[in-house]
Amino acid sequence: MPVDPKIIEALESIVGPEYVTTDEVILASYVSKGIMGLEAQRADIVVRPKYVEEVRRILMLANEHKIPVTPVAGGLSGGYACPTVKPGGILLDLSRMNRILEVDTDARYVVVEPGVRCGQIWRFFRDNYPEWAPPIPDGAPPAATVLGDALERGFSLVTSKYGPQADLVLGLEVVLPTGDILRTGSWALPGAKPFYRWGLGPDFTGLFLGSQGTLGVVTKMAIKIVPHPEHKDIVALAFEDPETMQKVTLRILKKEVGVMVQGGNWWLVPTRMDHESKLPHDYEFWKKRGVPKYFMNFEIWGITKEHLELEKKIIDEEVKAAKSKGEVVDYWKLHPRQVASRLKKPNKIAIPYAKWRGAFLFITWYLPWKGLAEFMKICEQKMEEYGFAPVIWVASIEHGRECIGMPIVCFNNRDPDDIQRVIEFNRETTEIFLDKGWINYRPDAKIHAPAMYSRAQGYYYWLKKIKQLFDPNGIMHPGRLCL
Amino acid sequence: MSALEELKKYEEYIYRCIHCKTCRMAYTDDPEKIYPENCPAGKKFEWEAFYNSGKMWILKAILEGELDWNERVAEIFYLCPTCGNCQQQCENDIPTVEIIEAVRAVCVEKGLGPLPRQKMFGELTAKYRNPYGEPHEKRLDWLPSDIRNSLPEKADVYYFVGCTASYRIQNVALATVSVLRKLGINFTISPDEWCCNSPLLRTGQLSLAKEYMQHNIDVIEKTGASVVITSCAGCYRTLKVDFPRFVGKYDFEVKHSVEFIYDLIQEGKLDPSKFKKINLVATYHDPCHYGRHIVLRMEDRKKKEEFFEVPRKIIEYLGIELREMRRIKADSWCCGAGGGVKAGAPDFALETAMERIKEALETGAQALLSACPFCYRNLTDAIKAMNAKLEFYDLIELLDKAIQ
Ligand SMILES: Cc1cc2nc3c(=O)[nH]c(=O)nc-3n(C[C@H](O)[C@H](O)[C@H](O)COP(=O)(O)OP(=O)(O)OC[C@H]3O[C@@H](n4cnc5c(N)ncnc54)[C@H](O)[C@@H]3O)c2cc1C
Ligand code: SF4
Ligand code: SF4
Repeated sequence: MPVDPKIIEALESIVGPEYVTTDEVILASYVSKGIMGLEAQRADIVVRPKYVEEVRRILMLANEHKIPVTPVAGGLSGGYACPTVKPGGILLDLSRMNRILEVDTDARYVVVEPGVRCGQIWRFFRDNYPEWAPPIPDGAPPAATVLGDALERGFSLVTSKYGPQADLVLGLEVVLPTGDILRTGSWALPGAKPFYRWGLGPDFTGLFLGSQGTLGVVTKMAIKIVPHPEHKDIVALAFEDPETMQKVTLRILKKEVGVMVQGGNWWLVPTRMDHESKLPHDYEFWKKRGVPKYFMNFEIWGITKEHLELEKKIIDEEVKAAKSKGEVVDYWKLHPRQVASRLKKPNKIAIPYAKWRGAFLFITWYLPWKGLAEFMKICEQKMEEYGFAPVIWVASIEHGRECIGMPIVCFNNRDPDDIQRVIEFNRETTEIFLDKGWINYRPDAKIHAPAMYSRAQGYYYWLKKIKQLFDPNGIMHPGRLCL
Repeated sequence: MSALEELKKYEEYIYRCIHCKTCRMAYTDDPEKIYPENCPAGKKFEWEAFYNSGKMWILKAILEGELDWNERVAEIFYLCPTCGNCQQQCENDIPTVEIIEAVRAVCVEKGLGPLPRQKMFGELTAKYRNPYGEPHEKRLDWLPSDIRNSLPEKADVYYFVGCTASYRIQNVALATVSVLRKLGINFTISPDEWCCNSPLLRTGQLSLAKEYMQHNIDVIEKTGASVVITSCAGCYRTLKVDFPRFVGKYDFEVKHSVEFIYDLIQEGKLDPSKFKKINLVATYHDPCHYGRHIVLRMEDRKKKEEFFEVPRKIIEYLGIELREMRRIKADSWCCGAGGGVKAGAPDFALETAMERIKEALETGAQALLSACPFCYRNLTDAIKAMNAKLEFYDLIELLDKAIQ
């Protein structure tokens, strides 16, 4: 939709003409579909601010003229940072705000702007604070941002120990559509450091985590950093069935072992290797190559060698105990290269699933750990029914308090029938999973959000009220939350 | 087949792009070496459209009829040195360089490309057999007449000098000949060599490709040489990768001059312990065309590693202290000259080279080394523009000093 030249002029006067564009080719280049969702619209104008004050003035202008705004940090959420509905309005590309503002190794946090990418912060910490790790997402590519991922409540390289990314957030600075700047946590007290999440009374931080940019623009985030010891290893366990995997893993997790504990079924291996026409689809082939039917990788970190060995010993004791009960579990002996590849952070591990059929969708659910086997079975059955390779990834959150489970739906994005099958698979499993009380993390606009909120209408009512409070003119994009 | 049909062959790959933006980084294998910025086009122009990830989504929009071919599309696809970093980083095996080149061919077909100065070198090549517009008959003028007159018709080795070393960076050509003579190699050079067509292929100007390639193959085959040596990384890539693509197989082996020397050492025909040691602290720039563009086509991991070790081993044999930059080997930062950018957008080329010079200076090295006269041109232009305290040598020049 053509943008009023006066608006363009006003935006140019805020950020400079070189950082505003309505060039249709550039607008097209920002579109992204797949990975998390299938819907995305082209924006009408892209603006690239550098400073908080610029963000504030842009939002005030948009608020005055009721122009929709979609914030994008790294833009790696597969289109969640693109407008959902038309008119596309302003795409607020925050990639120029890429400063690492503060590192406090005593209170153990880092303050970042929205554009700080995982590759950038990893480099920065390796160079300057090698004993500390910033909480980058575990499997997201290095161009993802720390702030965007934490806003999404993602899973980091230490999520199995510390909980979802959101749990590590200590405070936010948010520019609201009205132009007000809100600081949360202890940061809300002028002059205070962002050392304490729960701040000055009821905590606002959580409202923005998972809000998909629907309430305001986060311009700074204080997030915990964690010790980054030298001693690391991967212990991989092999199972014949998901029930045993669920039980044995939980016993180990209850001993609080592992920083990232994740696994799934054997389909995770071939589907990232090559096109489906080029590789065998039967398990026997992969079994001969040493791939277990089900597996769980325990990434363990030790402050000392002895500490690392102790963690391994705890796992070993549980493995022995399980075997003595007749449970089928074994070690999956990994090649040193496989270990190294699993230890790599940030990594590219999850990128190549597009090779199998051309595209993929991560449909992610949170559930109690005890639902893991059932979740996997339902996914396997339904994915096969709909004609997809049943690729399933699971991980532990905070030592198995919860499980994050994810069918990776590899599909052909050039085939409308295949796309339709993805939608139907998603719709059917969403109803099944919601019936079981499991929750979609990164709900999408057409399936998850309507299904979820129609069951939790009271919650949705209050979310709408809060949206009205923060964003009275409704300029922030509705995200995939339909807000 | 029309250029558009040729591009359509890549549709499956274009659709594979998940917009993960990894292709802008330098991160082949080792997280310890990760470097957040390795796409010269994106670094310079900043908008998402200039990064490869953005380019793939522009193409999707075109393929889906949501965007038309236009001059802006062409401009965006031309302002890229086709360095191949994006292809190197992409885990979905998207042949980005081939796609960008195929898009450029469509742009030429539709009258939207190439950039004006690139068009000029297309015309000059058609007229003079070289993109510099120099008289073809002067192609061997750099060579002392006694050597020129004694070049045999038949030889074991053919030295493919290339246009840049023939007309601009002649010291590289002279050093190469000097080394070959000192080593007693039975080699020859033809005055009738034509441009390998690299600058035209890289800019979508394909009309001369087959004729020129076949001509060069005929010239080489007439000499009976079983090995062809190149000085220029661009010629190397074109002879090795593009000649077979356009005109089929040929009957000789193509080696870069540095590779040729290295092989002689491995075969025991040259003893590096007899090299005169060069007292230098230096860093090495991997040319994209004698680096990434070649290993991208190798399956074997070990072979890839060995390939990048060749110039480094030579540096070691020369007794030079090597101080590596951060972005090296498959993760190398491009010199900025390739893909027609030196001619089409010289400021952009220079800026890219200046970033490389800064990186070289950070190592504390006194000299920057490389193995390509085209990188030589652009990097030395940047050294001059920055007034930097940094010497520059092509490896063959140092080999010439070292080999007695
Ligand atoms: C191959 C692959 C693997 C992945 N693996 C993982 C993984 O292991 N762990 C994990 O957690 N995630 C993973 N992801 C998901 C993805 O990395 C995250 O969703 C993403 O990193 C979020 O960060 P971003 O900066 O890219 O967010 P964006 O895509 O820019 O934005 C995400 C959402 O937040 C909103 N938003 C962005 N910035 C702001 C702001 N400043 N203020 C308000 N709202 C804002 C956007 O509108 C959007 O709704 C993976 C993705 C891919 C492609
Ligand atoms: S080309 Fe490859 S690396 Fe680049 S965004 Fe697309 S999938 Fe990712
Ligand atoms: S070829 Fe090089 S400059 Fe061009 S898009 Fe790829 S990485 Fe960027």
